[in-house]
Amino acid sequence: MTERPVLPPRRPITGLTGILLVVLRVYVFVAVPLVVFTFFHMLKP
Amino acid sequence: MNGAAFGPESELVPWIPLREELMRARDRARVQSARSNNRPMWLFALLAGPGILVMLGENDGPSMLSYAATGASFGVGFFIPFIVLTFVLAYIVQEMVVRIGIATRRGHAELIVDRFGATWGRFAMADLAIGNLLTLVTEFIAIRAGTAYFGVPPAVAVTGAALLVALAMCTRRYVTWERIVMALAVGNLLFIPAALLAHPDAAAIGRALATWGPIPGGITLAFFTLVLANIGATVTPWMLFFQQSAVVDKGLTRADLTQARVDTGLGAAIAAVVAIATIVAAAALYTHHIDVRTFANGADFASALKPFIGSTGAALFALGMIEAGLVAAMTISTSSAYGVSEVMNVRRSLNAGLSAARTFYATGLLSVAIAGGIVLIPHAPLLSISITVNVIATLLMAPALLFVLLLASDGEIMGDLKNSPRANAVSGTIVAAIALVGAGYALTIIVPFFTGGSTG
Repeated sequence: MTERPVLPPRRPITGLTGILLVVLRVYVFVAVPLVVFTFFHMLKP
Repeated sequence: MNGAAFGPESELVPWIPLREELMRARDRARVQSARSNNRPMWLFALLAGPGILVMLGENDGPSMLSYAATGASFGVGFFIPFIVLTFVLAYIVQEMVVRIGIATRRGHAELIVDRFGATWGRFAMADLAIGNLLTLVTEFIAIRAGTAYFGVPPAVAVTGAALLVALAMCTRRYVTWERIVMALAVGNLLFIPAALLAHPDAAAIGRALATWGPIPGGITLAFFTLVLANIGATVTPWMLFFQQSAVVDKGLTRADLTQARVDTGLGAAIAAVVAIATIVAAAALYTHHIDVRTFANGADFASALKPFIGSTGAALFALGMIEAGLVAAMTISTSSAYGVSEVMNVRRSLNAGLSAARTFYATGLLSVAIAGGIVLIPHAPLLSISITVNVIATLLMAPALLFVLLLASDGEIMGDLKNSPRANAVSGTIVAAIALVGAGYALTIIVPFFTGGSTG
């Protein structure tokens, strides 16, 4: 009925998924500091 | 986690189901009964919830402000059909999440850990928890502003709302929690009579739907910013985490997929109608050339609308703002609880006992307490927080959507519920567009801070 299916073991990430995750990693490295910096900049009186 | 009491003589030890499994089994028995007795409406009533709640939850304080600002700045032209389009996009994204939840029976954060590793899981958890905490602050700002319209002191309003959110969460029954939130979410419909009291021009609305116009003043930066804000008001990261986990907690199966889709579609349709009603109500300010650029909250809009929609209409508008904040506070705090518990791999269910799922309940309750506390701090930078929430939500939308797309296309976990190539092309385009638009919106807010311009 509502049992959890067993998922196949995780395989090494390759192909398009791998490329997209690399792009995402770059995006995160740019976006996170931007968000933090903006937040503290906005807190200034 | 399967609740079995295994020991050295495990074959002799009876299986003791966890409380959440027992409760879920009880709910599933009702579903089976409705299905076998061929009672489709009752079946839908039992299965509906996650979709309607996620869509009405997203019609939250900041979103309703965004719709009100849209109506007050541009009237009922371009944005009415545009809102319909944004909710179609929201449906397409959320339908993928429903399929992922049904196919894998795992929450969104748990699945990210499973498929992409602990680092991405922790990133997803951190972005959800921080983004949600800041969004919760804006929900309490909406509650505080809405109740202020009726003269309720901030401390009473915020504390009362926080207690209500906490009490609903602590019922230890998913179904009870869901029904409480759905009952409150009916209040979202208050924007519809408020719009009718504005005596809208039906012909103008029909023309707007047919022509996607007019756009008063042409395509300006202010117009573009509101386009982006309205997209940001329709699809946000917490929705993905909440609906997938709620689908799992409710125990939906493949047999329930049609009802789950209808639930999501119905939620999107109701939320779109309410969003349009808010634009229509606030369009009275546009018609009477009221400048709303200095308006900071729902109470400002309610007060300004009073001469045009009457005291009843203004009161409905303020009540709607309170409801928007309250329902969103309930769904968003629950999504935080699911997300954090999934990544930490501890018990997570609104059917679980309080002591059995301490991390789950502590995360939800603590986020509500912290957010409520921040709103009550004298001179807290609430406006800065509100703006930053938009930036964070839109910037974090790209990674969240990418994970949805990757998971929904993974045949190993989705089986025959995986995205078809055509669905992948459509949803991939939508995901890319929302991600780009989100990043664009964030930049329209961030850039002026570094160039010394206005934040708009």
